[in-house]
Amino acid sequence: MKRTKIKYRPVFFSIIFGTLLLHSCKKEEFTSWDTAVLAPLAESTLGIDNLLADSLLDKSQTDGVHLKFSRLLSLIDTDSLFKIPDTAFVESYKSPFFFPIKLMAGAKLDSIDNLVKFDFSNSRITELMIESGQSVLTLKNYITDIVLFDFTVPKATLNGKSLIHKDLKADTGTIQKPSEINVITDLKGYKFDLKGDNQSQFNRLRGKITARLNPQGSGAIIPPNQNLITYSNEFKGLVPYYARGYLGQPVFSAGDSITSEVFSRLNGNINLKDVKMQLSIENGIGADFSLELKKLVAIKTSSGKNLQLNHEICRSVQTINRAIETPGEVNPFKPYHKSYVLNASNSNVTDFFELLPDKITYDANILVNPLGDISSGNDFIYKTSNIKIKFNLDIPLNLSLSNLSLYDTITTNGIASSSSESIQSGEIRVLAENGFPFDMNIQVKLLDEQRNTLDEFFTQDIIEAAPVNTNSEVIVPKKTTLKLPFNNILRSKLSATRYIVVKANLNSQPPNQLLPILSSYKLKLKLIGSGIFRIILK
Amino acid sequence: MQYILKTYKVYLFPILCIFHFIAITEIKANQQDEVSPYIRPDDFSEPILPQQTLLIKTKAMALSNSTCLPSGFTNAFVFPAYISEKLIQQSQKKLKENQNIMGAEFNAGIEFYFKAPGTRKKTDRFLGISYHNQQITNFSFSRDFFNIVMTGNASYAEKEAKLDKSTGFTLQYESLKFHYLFFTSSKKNHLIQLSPGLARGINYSLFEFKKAILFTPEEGDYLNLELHGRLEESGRSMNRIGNGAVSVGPVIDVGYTFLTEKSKLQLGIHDLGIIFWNKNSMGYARDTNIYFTGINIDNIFNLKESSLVSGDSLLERIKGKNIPSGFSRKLPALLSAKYTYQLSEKYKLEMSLGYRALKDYRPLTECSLLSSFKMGKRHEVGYRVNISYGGWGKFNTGIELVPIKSNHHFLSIGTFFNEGFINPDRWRGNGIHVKYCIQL
Repeated sequence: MKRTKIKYRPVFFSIIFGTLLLHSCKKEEFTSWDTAVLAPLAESTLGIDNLLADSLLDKSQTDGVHLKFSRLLSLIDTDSLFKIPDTAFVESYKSPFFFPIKLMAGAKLDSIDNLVKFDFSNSRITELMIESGQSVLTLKNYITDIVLFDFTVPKATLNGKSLIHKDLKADTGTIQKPSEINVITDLKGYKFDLKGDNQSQFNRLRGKITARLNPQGSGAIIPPNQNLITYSNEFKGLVPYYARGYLGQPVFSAGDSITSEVFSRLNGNINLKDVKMQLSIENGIGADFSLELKKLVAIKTSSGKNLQLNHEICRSVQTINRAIETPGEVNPFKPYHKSYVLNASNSNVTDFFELLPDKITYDANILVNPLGDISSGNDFIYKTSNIKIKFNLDIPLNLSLSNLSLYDTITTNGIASSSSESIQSGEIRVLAENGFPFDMNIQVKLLDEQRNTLDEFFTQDIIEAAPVNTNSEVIVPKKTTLKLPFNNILRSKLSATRYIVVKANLNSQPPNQLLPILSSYKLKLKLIGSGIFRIILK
Repeated sequence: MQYILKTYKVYLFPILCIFHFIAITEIKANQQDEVSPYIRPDDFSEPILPQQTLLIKTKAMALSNSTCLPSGFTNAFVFPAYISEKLIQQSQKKLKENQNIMGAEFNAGIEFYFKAPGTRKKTDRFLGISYHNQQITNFSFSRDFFNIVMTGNASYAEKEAKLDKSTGFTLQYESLKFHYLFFTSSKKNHLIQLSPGLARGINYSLFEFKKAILFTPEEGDYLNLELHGRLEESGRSMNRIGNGAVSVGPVIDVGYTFLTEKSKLQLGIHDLGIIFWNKNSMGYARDTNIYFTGINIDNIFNLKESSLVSGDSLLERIKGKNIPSGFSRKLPALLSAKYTYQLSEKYKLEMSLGYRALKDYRPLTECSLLSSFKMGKRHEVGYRVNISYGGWGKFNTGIELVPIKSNHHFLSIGTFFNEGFINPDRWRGNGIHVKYCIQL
């Protein structure tokens, strides 16, 4: 009896272990069940400020939102308006004798008194104030004794003191190997009086250089007909802060394109009301100029359409008065402004912007001093002077839309969620609460990495416009529900999506009626999930 | 609940290994000292003291019960499986509006008892050491709470779901205890047991909705949750936040056994203690109204790398922003009283009352009939049938078989509740227990 127990007991327990081991090999399973879920997933509210940058919108107007667009253009590069060319003079001194001669210590060698002429083309400048630049003086000594130089520009002054360098010492040199010294003077803040010696000239500046042997030296024998000393001075890289005189009659061409981000995403037909554009021309130079705006054209690249602005400013040459100096004030001059208001009564500016231009090009000619030197040499220009033109566009969003389309592409790394895998079946509902008086067809296209179309939704679905009252204003938004079945195929497509192309097609209701857009108008979109969701306890 | 099964697998295996090792080893019986005149070697019950040198007990139990949910439903949590719509519908039938209760418990451990040094002759003092791993899950919920969790909120469109007075509690901990048992009289009929030790918290989570109403509009465009309650989390799930600092606390068992010739009265408090949950624990007290409209996409034209579906957002709103901090929570101690009376040589009657210190737990009363038969000179077999009421359930029956009972071995395999095994789709309550004791 005892033996039997010993025999079978291990067998019995081995069976238990075997069962346990087999059980542990079973595939892991989780507790799970299905629930019918109805829940909001996401929401978004779109206002007019989601379509147009907030900085472009003026919501303070009583008649609705205004689109305001402003752009300031400098028509002329200041550097091109007035430049100081690098100007230099070079002189040398040779022995006046035909034979070698010994000069005593301290003997005077030479004296140069040169009237330097600046080449300002047809400008006649009498006064310059230097923003930056240098005077580079180079002196060479071929004599076998030390030579001392004095350099003076009496009419170049800084705080009332002339530019002077005294006792510049050039070491002993030889004919073969002269000694050389370079003196660089920073001319920042210097004032140049260019009226010459008798104060009736222009573009002239006198410079003086004298040279003598070292008084403490032993003198030197100078050979005949050989360079003994050479001088050169260069005014280099001068940038004027201010110039005065007669600026001449330079002619400038100005042309460029303005890219309009505002309208670039829009296509279709739009009717606008009370479009107003103010063109303000600023003259910051102390000289009159004439402006010939040869063309100002609105271009819609996608359709290839363009329209020339038709207004007085484009039809005739405009004369713009000069700025005036305001000594003692923070801004040393007061620019002259001339403004033109373009509206439906004096131009085609409404048609111009109903084109929804993505580009505006202009072409203009500018002539300075069209009447010549009428200031008697009292034109001026500051470094900050310029000729500018400012566009101020004011479009009240009081409009009618017909098939106006808006495109946008959203990039994504795929729309997926671990939760979405638990969705067994169901649909995604888009609950749209439209506060705009526009019927909207918002089509969504999913594209993969190679921009192949994966799927398209809502191609025929319309989000209905909110009704308007007798003042053409929306009081109560309109609700529309769009449905999108959700299944495994869609889930994989969403996961593979890299681009979402959204195309919104808008038609105002009632059609052909100008409707104000109020800042309170919103399109509320709510994404609601409805379906069978499997809860898995992991 | 799934953790019960995992832990069950982890601990049952080594326990059975020990069992196997001991079982295949033939151990010769030695002449025994009498421990107490009232503790007979052929006592049908599980031995409580070492007869010779060492008593080793290994135990494992798992049970689940409910006042309303059929066993098949709770089984799906213990033994992970898909819960069918039919089973959910079956479960819904017995739901009351409030106070539907479900609970589960798992315990596995090993205990060693030996005579205290220097008391070999007197045999009136005993020492012991034990290790147990315990998990308790307790839910009390409203009908709407069950429906929302198990069937979703779609059927509550344009209706309020009252989730009030719903609580959920899961706790897992392990304990290491030192036992000191002694007779208080020379007659050896009063046995006192003191078992102090340490408990280490493994996992803890709690939700308590004093008031919670969920409203789902017909269009489902928002969810409105009025919530007044609290949530607490600690343990392993908190490791991702911090450094997984240890959560420990003191624990004690106190027992008293009164023995007579024909009867035995056992009173006890088990796992009276507290755990100081570590500083990474999270507690959220919420008294708020949550109006959830989905994830807000600020600008749909800037939808980059976004997910349209996120399940975390509402949960995050419910949890709010809290700073982790430690807290202490009492263990759900078990109070028990058991009276056993020898009806005849073969039959015993046992009456017991148990209460676990949980808000929703009701006193469990149990009445058992035990019977044993001699198999040869030194072996006997036995069985026990019992009927019970209370706890996490209502009326239940149980059965226990003792296929091996000798001076050295005691093996019992039994059920707490039979009904869930018989008809899991309709009836409530099931549970098993296995015990093996060996006297060395």
